[in-house]
Amino acid sequence: MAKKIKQIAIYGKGGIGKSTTTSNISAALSTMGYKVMQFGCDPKSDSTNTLRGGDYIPTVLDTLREKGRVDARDVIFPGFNDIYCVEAGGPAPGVGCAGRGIITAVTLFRQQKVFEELDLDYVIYDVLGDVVCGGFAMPIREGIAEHVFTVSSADFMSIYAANNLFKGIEKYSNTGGALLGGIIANSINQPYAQEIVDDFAKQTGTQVVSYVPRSVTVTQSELQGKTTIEAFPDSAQAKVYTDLAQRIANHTDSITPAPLDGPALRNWASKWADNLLAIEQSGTPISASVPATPLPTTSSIPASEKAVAV
Amino acid sequence: MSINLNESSVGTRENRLGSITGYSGRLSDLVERSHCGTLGNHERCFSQSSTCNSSCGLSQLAGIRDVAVINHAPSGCTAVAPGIATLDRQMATKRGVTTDTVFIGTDMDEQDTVFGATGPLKDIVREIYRRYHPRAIFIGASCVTGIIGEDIDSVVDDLRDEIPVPLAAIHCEGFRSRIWASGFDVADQAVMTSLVKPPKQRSNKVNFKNFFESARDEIIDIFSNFDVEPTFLYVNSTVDELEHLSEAQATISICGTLGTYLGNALEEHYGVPYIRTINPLGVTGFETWLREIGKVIGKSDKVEAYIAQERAKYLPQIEKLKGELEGIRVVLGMGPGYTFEVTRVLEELGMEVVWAAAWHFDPNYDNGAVPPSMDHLLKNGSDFKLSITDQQNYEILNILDHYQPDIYLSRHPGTTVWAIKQGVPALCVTDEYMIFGYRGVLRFGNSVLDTIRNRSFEKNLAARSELPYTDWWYQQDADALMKEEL
Amino acid sequence: MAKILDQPCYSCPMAAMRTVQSIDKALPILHSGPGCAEKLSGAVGSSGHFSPHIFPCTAISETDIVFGGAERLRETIGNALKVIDADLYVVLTSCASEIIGDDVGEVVGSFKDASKPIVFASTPGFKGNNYTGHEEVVDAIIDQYLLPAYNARDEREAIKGLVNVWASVPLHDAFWAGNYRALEGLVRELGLTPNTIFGYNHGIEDIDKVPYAQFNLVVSPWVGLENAQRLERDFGTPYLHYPNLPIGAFETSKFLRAVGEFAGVDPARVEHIITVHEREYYHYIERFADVFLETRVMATRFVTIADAQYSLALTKFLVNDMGLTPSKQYIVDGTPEAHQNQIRASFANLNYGIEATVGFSSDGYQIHHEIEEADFAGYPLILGSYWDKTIANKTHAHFIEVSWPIQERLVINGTYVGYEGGLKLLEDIYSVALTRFN
Repeated sequence: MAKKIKQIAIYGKGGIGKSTTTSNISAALSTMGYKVMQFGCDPKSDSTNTLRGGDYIPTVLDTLREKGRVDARDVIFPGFNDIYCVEAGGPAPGVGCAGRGIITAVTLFRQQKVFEELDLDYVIYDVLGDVVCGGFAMPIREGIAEHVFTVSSADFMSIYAANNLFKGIEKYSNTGGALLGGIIANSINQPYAQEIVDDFAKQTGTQVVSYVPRSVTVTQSELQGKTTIEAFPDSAQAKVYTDLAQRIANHTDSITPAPLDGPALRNWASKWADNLLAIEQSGTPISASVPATPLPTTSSIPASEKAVAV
Repeated sequence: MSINLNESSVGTRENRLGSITGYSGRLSDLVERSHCGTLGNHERCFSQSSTCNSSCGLSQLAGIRDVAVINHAPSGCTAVAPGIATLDRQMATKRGVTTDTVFIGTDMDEQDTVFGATGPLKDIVREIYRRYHPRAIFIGASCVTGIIGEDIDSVVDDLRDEIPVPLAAIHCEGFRSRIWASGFDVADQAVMTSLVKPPKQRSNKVNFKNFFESARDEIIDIFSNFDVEPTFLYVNSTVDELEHLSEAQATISICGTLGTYLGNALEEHYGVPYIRTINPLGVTGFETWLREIGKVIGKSDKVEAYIAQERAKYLPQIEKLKGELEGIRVVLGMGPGYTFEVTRVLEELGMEVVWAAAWHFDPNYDNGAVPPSMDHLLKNGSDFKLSITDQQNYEILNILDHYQPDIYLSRHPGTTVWAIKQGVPALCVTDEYMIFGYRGVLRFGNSVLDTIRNRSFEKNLAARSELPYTDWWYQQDADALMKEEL
Repeated sequence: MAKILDQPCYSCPMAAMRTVQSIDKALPILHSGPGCAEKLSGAVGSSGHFSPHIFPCTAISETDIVFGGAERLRETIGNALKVIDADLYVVLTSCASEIIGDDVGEVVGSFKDASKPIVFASTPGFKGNNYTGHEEVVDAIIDQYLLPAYNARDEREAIKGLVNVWASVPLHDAFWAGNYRALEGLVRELGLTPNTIFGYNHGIEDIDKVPYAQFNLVVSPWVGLENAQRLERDFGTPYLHYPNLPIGAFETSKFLRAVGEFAGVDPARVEHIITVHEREYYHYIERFADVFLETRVMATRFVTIADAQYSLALTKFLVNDMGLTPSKQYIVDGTPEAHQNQIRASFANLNYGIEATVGFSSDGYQIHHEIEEADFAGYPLILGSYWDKTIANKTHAHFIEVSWPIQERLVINGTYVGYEGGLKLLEDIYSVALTRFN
């Protein structure tokens, strides 16, 4: 009981590679010997797939719907290296209330003292998108996660989502909620992509904890239904995730970010759009170095990977 | 499952205890499956309005004297405020005490629903403290706050340094449970986590959980024979009394449904024994209950002496009454803490239980055991037909139509009247002490006889009332609209 | 924005389930959590033909919230049609169903071929209060039930002399039933045919007549006005908005003249009716004038703390009929701002140039604080709700409960409307006064 469970929430816009990153962090932490639970908070319910050979698991909310009650222990499933996998679940698009679903699932676990009884070291919440309503902020409230990391590419929509998350964190920071650990920069293969994320971090008074390059290794792992840590433990990409996990394990002090307000964010984005246009017109071969990657201002995920990750 | 006092919220009955609101069958099956843990719920494809766990929970808390309940909700949830205030004041007046408890709303509107309103909520809490200086403030959730994810816990944490009285967030969203008794647990959780202090010593008190303390004087008198003093909960309780619940010699509840969470929490966390016998209704119930209390507080001798003295006085009268009650056919519908206690008394008095309905059913209490009344019934050869129905009026009227009992007994406002409209005499056993002890048995038995004897009101009304249900419905079985078991 | 609702005198739009309930054989179906009806149903008088225990309710659960509750509503409506015998089914939405965005219109629309009419009204708790909810329900019936039938008909002539009467909010106003019957009586005396849709023996046949009235008569400061405007738009029916519920001789006579004039009733006939009533009324007043004039324990000042309807009606009666003097009056029904000036103007138009100031507030604490500070030149008369018992005790006032919430008196079909109603009110007020000497 004396042990303090480290609870971390990882947010990111849908499709940005947040579940991939989260699962690899969980996998890396478990290989370091920690007891980890990954708690998927996304109605798509696929957060833990790569920890379980590509399997979907029964979700907390589906179980509640089907049985009328949930014993939390019945919706925890073992994954790679005995990671405890949980999916909150949620409604089909266009009906019900996904936000309330997250509240319902997390509350059930807390009431039943599951984290304490499993003697966990880490609970990692993998949460969809920006903080659109109170339910999606549930994991960053007081007493749940202490540290939040956001996965973001250099794609502007992804950065908008990160900025929204910062607003949520700022709001809850006054009442003992989670603080920001930093940004996990994902799909970073271009120097300017790193610059964009770095600049955003600077503007919002935060830090980038890791730059994760786009890698075919990830795609190959996911096609096998595995994390990179499991499928290619000796790969360079696995090393990136292990380093990231180590950094998160060592991380202690989070901060309150300073999100940009609407006009400031727009100005910032248009300044960068001008820069990118200048780079493109100056003839720098953007697409030459990474053939599969379209321009960062549209979507940064290649179609092949999307099919696996989504 | 153990009691978790680290959270402000407590699980619903459905989730914590596996409680159900839909079942139709026999006592033996219900008890057996409760023991095996295989009892599932039947949802309905048609239901009628019942009761909200928030009005249940918040009104429990509002019974405490000189506190503030702030329901963070649209105005409709605060529509219960007048009823609660009336009850509080009338109860206080009866006791000769005063209460300045207030029940406030925050009148949430569309803007609050979209943008959230924890900011205004904080100001409201501050202002209510300034106005009334309550001894504790309870902030109740609502459907709206639950869905939009309003973080009431953080409001409480934020104000804790500023407001020098206990504050608690009450998680009682209306949709979270179909069992209003989940509201009892929510209130108990608030009392346990925000008011009750660890014990400094054992007192000569026993915690006595009940609804409206109508037998207060009688119970004080009984317990004076055993040198202990009851603290009645929660109507007319004071915050000071509640702070010391952990020091009592025992916790007693007039109703197992009402008492399970507080009783088990006090026992588990502070070692206060919780009396878990059948309830003190009827002769067997009363004596079993008293003997267990005597054992726990170490006063068995005095209890036996008391029983002997009272038996001599009342048993002859009760025996005489039995002759008149013999063979009366009864249907009853009550909360489970009463249904399965009152059925015992009915059978004890020679009446026949034709059908028993309970508004929900807890297959086990918070100590993990099946309610003692169930095993007691089974052991004594009962095996009546029953249904678990959350006040589903259409099912009850169907049952009454089918079985045509001599009398219908119920405990909840607005339920007995439907029986008499259908031409069945009905008695509202609304006072929780109506059948308490030897005197209660006499009071109850005579009321049953009076009700059956003078049927004028019922006949006059039934002759002129049109029933709301279709003929089709009366031709169905009462459980026709229950779905497959989950 | 969220604000203190201390001693609430209104509730939420879904309380309009009681508006449905007061139409004979009309049944509300609640798409809500299990307990909304119970919260909104009031302490007594809930055992009528359809009552909250009978109302079908989807009893929205945690899983319905997360996954959507539309299918649950569909099966509830389908079975309500089979189980409960009603003439009209009115589906009401709640906070929960509205926030999660269940498409209730689609679900209700799928029953368009059902044997009985089904309409729906949007009544989430956070959007208005029980008064606007009442208007929503009436509006839903006009829009979804009356209008399609009206448009499908060739014959659309108004029936001469038929007058729809719209007044008190049923069941929320404890005196509603008596009020409607008394207003009908007054209209009938003018040789007109009153049509109301609420109360004993008033149901769907009366609703069917609504589009064919000669005019709509709205007897209310603001509630129902928008319904009348809608009826004018949809069916071309003119309306008379008479803001003051008439109590006692002076105001009732004024009311008869106004309605008579609007309906084109011969003024001589109106005056004759008035004369007959006033003679009888003043016969009794004369006999008991000693009580009114010579009681030692009642000051000449009074205060009302009530919905706009009673605050205005009682003020008019006490000033214009009984010669008392108004202190500041309080309207506690959450009157929308758009109507407040018009209501203020009514309070400024009393006999002898007397003007009453009016406060609109939902904060009982503030109101009581002001009353405590006010000078009533003796023991005041307080006409309010249950909440005002405490301030009445503090100020040694004479007090009766007249406006929601009423907790400690029983009203079955009583009314203060009309000549008889005025006498009844005097009985009630002075029955309190007579319990004291000094």
